Amino acid sequence: MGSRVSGFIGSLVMLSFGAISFYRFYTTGIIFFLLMVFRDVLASLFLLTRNEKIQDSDSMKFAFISYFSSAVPIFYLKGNTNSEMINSISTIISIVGFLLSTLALIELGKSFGVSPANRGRISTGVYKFTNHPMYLGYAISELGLILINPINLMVYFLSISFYCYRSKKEYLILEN
Amino acid sequence: MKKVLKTIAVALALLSMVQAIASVSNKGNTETTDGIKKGSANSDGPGI
Repeated sequence: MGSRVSGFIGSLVMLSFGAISFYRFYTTGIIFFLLMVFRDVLASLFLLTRNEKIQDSDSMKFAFISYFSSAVPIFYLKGNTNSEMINSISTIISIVGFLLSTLALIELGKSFGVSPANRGRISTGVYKFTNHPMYLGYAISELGLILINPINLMVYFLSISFYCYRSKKEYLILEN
Repeated sequence: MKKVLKTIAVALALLSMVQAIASVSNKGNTETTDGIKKGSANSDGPGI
């Protein structure tokens, strides 16, 4: 599949996520959903106008793993605690993680992609402090979901394993 | 441009946090442990 076509499909997917997030903001009034809309619209624009690959993994397997990894968070179970305090702490942890991954996305800009590929190395902004701020942000964000339901720990391990695998793969591609 | 986008992201995140914290403190201020709202017709008076 050509890079432009996959970028276009990815852009549509992100835009539909943004629409769902906006609907949830409209019905609940929770501002966090507005942050998700902002992130999804930005990701959609970046995917549509992204840079051409300098080098990619040349493998459908890695692309599939990357997209599957992105979908893993939908397996998290909803909260089973009645404690408002725990729910709020979980929300704040999720916001902090989500903010970090959004800042990483802004920094990546047109170099953003889902499957591992070299679209130019970024070492500014949050990338000055860590090589994978987006994955770190997701990891922090998903940590909040364990607080509201400990069974989510199993999904968390699966999700983190995929992030580690993807970051290792990206590192190898960027080093070559 | 990046600076503007980052500022919007940080502002939305801060507002989200304030809203999350406010929802807890509002709940604490308006409900007693048995669920009777303070200042409502069911309460025994102010401060309960």
